[in-house]
Amino acid sequence: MNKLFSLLFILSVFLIKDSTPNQFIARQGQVTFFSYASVENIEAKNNQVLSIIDFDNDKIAVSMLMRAFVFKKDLMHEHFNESYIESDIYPKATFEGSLENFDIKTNTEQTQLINGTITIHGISKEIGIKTTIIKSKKGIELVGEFNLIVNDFDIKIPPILSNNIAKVVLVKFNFQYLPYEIN
Amino acid sequence: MFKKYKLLLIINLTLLLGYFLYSFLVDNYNNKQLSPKVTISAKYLTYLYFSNEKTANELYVNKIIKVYGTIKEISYLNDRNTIILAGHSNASGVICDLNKTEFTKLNQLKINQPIYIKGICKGYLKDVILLNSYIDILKNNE
Repeated sequence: MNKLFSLLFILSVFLIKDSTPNQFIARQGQVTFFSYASVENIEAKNNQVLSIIDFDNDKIAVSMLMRAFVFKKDLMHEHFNESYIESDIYPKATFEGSLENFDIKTNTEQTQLINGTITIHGISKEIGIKTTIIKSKKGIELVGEFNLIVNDFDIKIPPILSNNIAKVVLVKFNFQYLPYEIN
Repeated sequence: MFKKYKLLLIINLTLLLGYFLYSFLVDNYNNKQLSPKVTISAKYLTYLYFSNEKTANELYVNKIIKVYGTIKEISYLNDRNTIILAGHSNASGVICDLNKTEFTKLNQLKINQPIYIKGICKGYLKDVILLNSYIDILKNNE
């Protein structure tokens, strides 16, 4: 009987250990970019960004539809998609990175650098993104910001509009993840 | 000489006026008034995208579509009002980001309720994404 209890105890330890989710998903992540220029400021927001975290491999992946960015003016949306990003040819922007030194077990807020590759307009660049990771009751929240140089991604701005769009664009993000069960 | 500059000024002012008028019309004409190109079930829409994203994009991207399905979730994330319709599998659905005029209808809605939603299809990640969406609540006998 004692051996049976010991066996059950050991099994229950493994079960408890395995029940901790190691994959998390955010389907409605938010990414906002800001262009501050002398002629005008432009802000666009995407509220349907997808991101998956896999703590087994310490990986994070982000994917967003460029057409889903919302501008205050529809004409800006049109120019962004048709002339600058060419979203018919490059519909998505992606990021694949590594979660280095992030400890899922801790409940305290952590600020880590996530190094990875961002791909926009068909061009990939290595980037380090300072990210704050907050563990909540439901899941995980990631917030952060970084700068992107527009020229790095072969985005062509007509000379007549060069004062309307900043050379460096500020990007902010906020993802709220829930446990992800892969079917 | 003066007449030439006067003519250029008139042309420039006309072009500028035309640009602002066009901007005003584009910004103020919303898709609530437009008829959808197609009516499709949420399950079939997600299945099509899952099976062949390229073909589904050719059919639906940037088009106003009317989707019918059951409500899987009502979300207020990002200070947005979003209805997620159940898709062909548990892994996917149709994320419908509502136009701000539709918020008052949300208190009439429940999970698993059948509903029609019209919006502009933007594409697919793990879910199909509709923006600027409008609700058409089914009557009880429909």
